[in-house]
Amino acid sequence: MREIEFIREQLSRQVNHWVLAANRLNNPNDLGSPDDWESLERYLRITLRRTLRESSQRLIQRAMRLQSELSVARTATDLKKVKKHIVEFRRTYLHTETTLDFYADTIATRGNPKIGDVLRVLDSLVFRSMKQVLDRLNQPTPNVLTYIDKGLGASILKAGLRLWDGGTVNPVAVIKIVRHNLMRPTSLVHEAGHQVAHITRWNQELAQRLESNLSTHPQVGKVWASWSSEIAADSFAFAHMGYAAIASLHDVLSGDDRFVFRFNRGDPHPLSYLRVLLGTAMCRRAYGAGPWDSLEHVWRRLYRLSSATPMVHKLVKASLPLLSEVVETCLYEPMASFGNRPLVELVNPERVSPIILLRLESELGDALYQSTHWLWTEALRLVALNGLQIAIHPEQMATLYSVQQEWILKLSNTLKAT
Amino acid sequence: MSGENINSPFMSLESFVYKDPEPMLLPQTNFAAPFEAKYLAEDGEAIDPEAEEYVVFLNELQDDEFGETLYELIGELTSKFEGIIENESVNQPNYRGEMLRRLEMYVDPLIKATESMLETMAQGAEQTDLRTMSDLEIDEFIDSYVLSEEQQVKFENWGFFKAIKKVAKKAVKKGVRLAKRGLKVAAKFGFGFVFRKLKKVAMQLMKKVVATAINKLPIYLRPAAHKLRKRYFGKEVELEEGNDSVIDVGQLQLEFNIQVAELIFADNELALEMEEEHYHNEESGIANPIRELSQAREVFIQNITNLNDQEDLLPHVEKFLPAILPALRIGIKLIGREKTIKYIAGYVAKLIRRLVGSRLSKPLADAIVRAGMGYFQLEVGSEQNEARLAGTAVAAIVEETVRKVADFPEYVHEDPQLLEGFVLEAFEQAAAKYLPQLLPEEAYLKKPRLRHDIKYRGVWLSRSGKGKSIVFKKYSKVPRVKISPHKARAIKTFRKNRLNKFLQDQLGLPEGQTIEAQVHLYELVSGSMLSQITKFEQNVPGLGTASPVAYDQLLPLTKEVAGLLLDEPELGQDVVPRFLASQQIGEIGQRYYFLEIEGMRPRVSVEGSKKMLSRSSQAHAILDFPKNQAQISLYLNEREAQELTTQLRDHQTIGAVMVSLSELLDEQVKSAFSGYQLKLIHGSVMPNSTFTALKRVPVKLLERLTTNVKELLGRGLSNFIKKNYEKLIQIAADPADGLTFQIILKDPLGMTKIGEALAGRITPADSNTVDAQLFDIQIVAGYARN
Repeated sequence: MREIEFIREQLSRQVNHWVLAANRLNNPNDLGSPDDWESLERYLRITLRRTLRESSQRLIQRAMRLQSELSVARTATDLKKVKKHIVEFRRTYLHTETTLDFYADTIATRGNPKIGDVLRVLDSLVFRSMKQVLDRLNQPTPNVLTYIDKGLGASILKAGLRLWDGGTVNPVAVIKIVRHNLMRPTSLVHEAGHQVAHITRWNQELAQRLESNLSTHPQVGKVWASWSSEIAADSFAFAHMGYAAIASLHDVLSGDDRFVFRFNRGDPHPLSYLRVLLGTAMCRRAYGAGPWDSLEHVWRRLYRLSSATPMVHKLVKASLPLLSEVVETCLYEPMASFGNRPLVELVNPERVSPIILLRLESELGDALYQSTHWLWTEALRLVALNGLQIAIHPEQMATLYSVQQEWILKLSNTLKAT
Repeated sequence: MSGENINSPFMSLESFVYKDPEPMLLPQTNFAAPFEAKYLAEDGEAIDPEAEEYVVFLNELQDDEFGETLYELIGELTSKFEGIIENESVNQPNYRGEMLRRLEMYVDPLIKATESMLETMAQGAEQTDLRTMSDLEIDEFIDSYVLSEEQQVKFENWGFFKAIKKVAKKAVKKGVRLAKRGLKVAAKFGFGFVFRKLKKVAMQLMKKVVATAINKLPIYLRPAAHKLRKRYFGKEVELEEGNDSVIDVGQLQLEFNIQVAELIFADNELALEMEEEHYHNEESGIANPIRELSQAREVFIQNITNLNDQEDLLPHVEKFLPAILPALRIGIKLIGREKTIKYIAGYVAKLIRRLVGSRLSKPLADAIVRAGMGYFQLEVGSEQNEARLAGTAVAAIVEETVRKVADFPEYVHEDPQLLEGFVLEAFEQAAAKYLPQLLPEEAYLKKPRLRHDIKYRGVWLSRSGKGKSIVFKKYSKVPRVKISPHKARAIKTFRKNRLNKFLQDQLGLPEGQTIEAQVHLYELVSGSMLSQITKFEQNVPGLGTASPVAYDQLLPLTKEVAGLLLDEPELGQDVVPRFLASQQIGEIGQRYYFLEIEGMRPRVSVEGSKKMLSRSSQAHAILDFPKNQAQISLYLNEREAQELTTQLRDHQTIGAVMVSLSELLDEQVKSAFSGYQLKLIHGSVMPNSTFTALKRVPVKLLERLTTNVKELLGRGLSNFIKKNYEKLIQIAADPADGLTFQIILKDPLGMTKIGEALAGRITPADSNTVDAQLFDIQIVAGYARN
């Protein structure tokens, strides 16, 4: 009898500890400072807080159950069961903590008010890029939470995925923008493409189409099909951003020869060498000749196929004649995922052709960057325009970055109130 | 200029000449009669010309933006106040005094800066002769006082400070004009005196603002205003109609303006001191009926929830009833009529008997929870809370019944039999609103008014703040509706604007798209503000803040709107037009809706530190009878301004441009001239009473003027746009949102007749007045009013 009481005492301490620990996770202000929370749009804040509260509430309820279980435990077997449940609870606690910490870390990147202001606009840009497509497909558009981090490329934790704790469904698309690209955010639209493809199930359909459209080279077709998710996101980014997306992608992929010709079976990312050429092929198909021709020319010169392994060499040789077919499939072929419409019918790349973008700027003049109406309605095209100008006037990059920053902060000021 | 002036905060102006700071007593000379009689009063007597000039000046002072500023400040203080009472016991001794002290401490930087500004101006005025200055120089004199950086960081919303500065300009300009004629206090004591008096009046206004934030009193036109009206008009003048408004900042502003006008028009210091004393003392007599009602309601709810079946209900109702009446303007007529109150209490107690008590509360509460299932789940949760639900519903029924009873005509109160019938009817209507549909279906078929809707079957639930006072009422169901473009066009919002414009301009939604929205329904209660509703609603995306960005998204839910939007007209509430003018003034019981639209982000404008929902395009008109001219400000919001200039850049014909403008012109001018954005500068019209004044004008006359103005504007604007194409494009590129055409029409057709009608002399609608001349058109960047 005395032995049981000893065990109960030990378990009781642990249970009480975990009950209190779980309760501590319930305060949103412990996860991010009030200022960090304030930096989010209110819509996003409400959604996130609700999810985090639900996640911590689930944990608290579990902790309370553990407490009741212990209070009614009478025998050694009962206590053994409680002990087992404590161990399980610890695991769940850690998973929940990982989930909450993930959001806390992303929100904390807004601690710097200026970064917070920029990220608020980026949230909105990504949201709009998705909404334009999803609205027409009668699908809800998830909220977006962008955060800044180190690295070369952007990444996404898609909304709708189950998180580490096993119970929480990610309520928002959480997208990482890398520090060096903060003022050149076309990669975020690529990430938005992943989210849209996930919601519309486009990846699977595109894989099938690529495989069947490239059936003249079944082996090559299979490889391209395995890249469908990244190709889908690239196509989405191109349709929204035009040449800016391709130039930006080019700059991120311009590593050494090993990197450019690296091929890993199972890696959803296309061979970098082909990925850039696919981008320039998209530009040529949509806009004819242009600055992308020169980019392609230099790309081919700087990265000689002779540096590639024989297998990659063969893959590239076989793929090059198929690029136009891939472009047709991605951009112009009706897809069931899009209600039997091609991507270009939902997002017309013609709206971001260099001619149209430059005309937009020359016709609207100062009003384009000053008018809240244009900032609001043309924000995505402003990013495309700025990216285009960076691509064709790299010598003006510093000025162009500050122009971009200025209008982003102006727009951010209005978003702050929502 | 003397060396002593080097440190003056004011700009050096040519007409600034150093004078000894002696009181400036002007030699009394024989001036020609300074006032000119222009109108005849209703009874044929000439209006006192001084009265006319006085009223015209009052009209000049009345400024909607000042009203908005006061509303925001009260809202801000209310939030602050609610923050304080979260941690304080409302029953502590000297509770109100302590609250006042803390709120005054909060606005201390604003008070100090305003005082310091007016004191510095007073000192400046003692060293220079303002009477020799032009209007422009006066503007410069006053504008030269700016907030230091150190001051700026101490407070966020400086609207009050700016508004007082604006008032100072108007007051000084008027004072100078009068002084030049050797008239009034300014001439006798100089402008240093005027600024110091203005400082005193401004501080009293601030005290009233703070007191309003605590009391949330319906603001009535106080005795001072009544007295003035008697003095200048020789009789009472009609007030705007309608029931109790919640917080009417227009009246608060009018009271302040009257003090400013008195300051400028007072003949001697003694008269002025007496007025000031009066203005100041009005505050000290104000009780706190809203708080007393909250406390009485709380006691009532607790008592009836725990009541056993044998216990007498009457004493509880009798105790509750007298607390309801002082919080209602219309309730005042019942105060002191003990017999009538006793009778009503007895009858109401009988009617609610079947709803109260420890045994009956639970089933009623269960039914309410079922009616509000889902939405209120988070807030109910415990048995104690559920029991409160029933008690709160019964209290709401009693309050609503009493409010309706108080509004009955006198003859009903005098006849017990009539009174019984009317009380029953009022009770049934109140019960339909606050109780779930508990009766068998046959009962509703027989008497459809026993329920207010069939489709959603929710109830109106009271939502209480931390101090237990009711902040607003919310319909327990949140209907999901589809709004087609045609429906959106048919639904009217404030000032007869259309919902489609709101969706497009304020919510940034594309035109021509059917939208799906969840509709949250709200009702104002005594002492509540829309900003409190939006602050309270923390879990509704888009709300959760007291900012105008949130509360400007609450739109009026009239019966017509409720019919179109929800298919249930009785969920709406009709109010008189003045309560449909803006979010800043509402009637107790008035209803509003908020559209929660997936993925929608409202469009926000930033003006300095102020963030608000983007403005809709609008017209404001001033009919200035002494000058016999109409001034119209036609504001094109940023979207419409950019669309207009895009058309111009595309070299579209002026015909195409005017076609796009004409609908806007037509609707906005009509809206302005129906009274929503119309200011009447006329010796017989008190400020803030446009709707009542317009009733004296034959409809045909007003229609004729509106048509005339629309035609003139169309003609004038097309010529102006043709000639000023470049300037328009340039102004549209300005960072300020939108652009404003400011138009002056001299002698528009029918205006003279309207002036006579306003003076009470109805004239036939025919007129041989010549067509007006388009006097002047100017265009400015951003939002402006004449």
